[in-house]
Amino acid sequence: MKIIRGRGVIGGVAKGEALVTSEPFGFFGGVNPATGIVIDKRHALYGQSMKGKVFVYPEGRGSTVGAAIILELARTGCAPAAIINISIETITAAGGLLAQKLYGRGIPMIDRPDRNPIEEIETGATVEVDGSSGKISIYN
Amino acid sequence: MILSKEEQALLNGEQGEAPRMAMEILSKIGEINEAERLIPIHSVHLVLHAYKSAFDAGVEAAEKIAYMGGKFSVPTTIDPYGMDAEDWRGAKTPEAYAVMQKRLEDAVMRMGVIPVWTCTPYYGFNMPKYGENVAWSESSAVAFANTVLGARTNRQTAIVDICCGILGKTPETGMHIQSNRCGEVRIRLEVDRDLKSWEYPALGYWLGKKLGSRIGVVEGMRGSPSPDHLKSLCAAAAASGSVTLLHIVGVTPEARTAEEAFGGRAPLDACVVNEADLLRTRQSMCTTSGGRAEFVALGCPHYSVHEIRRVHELLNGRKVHPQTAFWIYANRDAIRLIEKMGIRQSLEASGVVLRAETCMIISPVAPWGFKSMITDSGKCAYYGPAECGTDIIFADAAECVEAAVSGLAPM
Repeated sequence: MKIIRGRGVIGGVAKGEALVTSEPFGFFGGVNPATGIVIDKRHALYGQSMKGKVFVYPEGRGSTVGAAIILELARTGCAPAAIINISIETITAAGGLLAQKLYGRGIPMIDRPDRNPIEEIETGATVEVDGSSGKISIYN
Repeated sequence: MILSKEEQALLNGEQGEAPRMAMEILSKIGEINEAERLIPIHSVHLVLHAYKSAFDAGVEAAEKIAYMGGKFSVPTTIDPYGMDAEDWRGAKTPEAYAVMQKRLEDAVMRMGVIPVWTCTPYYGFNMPKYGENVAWSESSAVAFANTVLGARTNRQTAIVDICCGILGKTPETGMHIQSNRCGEVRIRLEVDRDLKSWEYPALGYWLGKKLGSRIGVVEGMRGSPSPDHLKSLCAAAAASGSVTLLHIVGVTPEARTAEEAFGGRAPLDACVVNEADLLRTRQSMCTTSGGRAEFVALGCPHYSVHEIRRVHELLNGRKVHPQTAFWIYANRDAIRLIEKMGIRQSLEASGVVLRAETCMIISPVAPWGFKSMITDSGKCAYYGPAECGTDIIFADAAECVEAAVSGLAPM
């Protein structure tokens, strides 16, 4: 088991299969919130589902309505289990915060990891995220 | 984060539930961004505006805050309406969608929004001045406010922007702090003439891809680009990347020179963009070419009076091809003016449809079954395939007009 430590942004603990990309990701136009499937044809993850996954990507991009999409993913139950970014954007963090406040469904989020999670975590690996302490545990 | 006595009282719920929750959310957002305090803002522009992008959760959130008693304490404007505000039935908007759009409208109206329903609030009275702090969402307007007006705003996001409107405050972070506004990447534009109109959004698209969230300093822009050119450039850059501020030397108020834009620091990176790069970018923005012109859509961001006039001139009384839909999206102010000028009537006689206060990206166009869309917008080229389910052809406005008349898409 490998451990990466980062900054806990949104609290809570979640465990799931990793979905990793080296490309930035924008939720509006990026994912169908009714299914959790990536709909951005130009993105490397096109067609894959983020539902229940530990979603690892460098940073957010694109439309500022993204927080509402994350909130809808939380409402439909299709949100990622947790999010790991190198540097988190307010849009993503706000989505997690609002999901917690308005639907009581936490999406733990961590950024500023001490090692590059995109290199250290492989898609499909089992990962546990503790958004309160900032600890990422990678099981193979 | 240090809260004032008044802010602490709000957090304790002394002014009611809505300001309490707004304070709780803003202080957490401030903490994540390592802000030391909240600062007053002059205006807010909301992005929770259309059912298509707000979904049920967004409508429920707006209603929840409105029924808690949330009221905006500073001028708060809003992005385009989620369907044609004049004729949503004629635009084939599903009834169930319209019901949700009206619920969202009721909620934001209850909070006291100024219903401009446009992505270009700066073309109205919500025009911040140089150095002014505001809290805007709508990525294209954020990039325009920072780059063209020299105002200061971060990319606010849905619902957090409502909290900013209620409190009239935002965390002091990012673009609100002078030292964070310095240029990071030097970009040399090697085009020896004024850019053509399609090259502005293509350059924006290229910049967004290249910069991500870094601040670029663009040197070498010739001539005097119009606000509409800059609008299309900013919109594309904020869609393909997370561009918040660009220093366009000679255009951006705080970038009279490159030295000023870099604030005395050395660039982290440098690159060159030339005519061939812009042409390649244009090709990469298209997902198809040629064939029948099914749907020509202009007005992302909302078309200004000038842009509508230009289309009217280019069309010059010719009729739109009977098998082609040619729609222009604009806000109420622009539509009212072109009506007074007789331009709307003339465009409609040619077969052009004016779609009021909405746009192709955030209103349902799927019921029309278009397989491809032709647009002059870099932002629309970016979002169109996912949000409209169509292929995209990005072209100059003049080519869009020719496609609408001939019924044939540009190659």
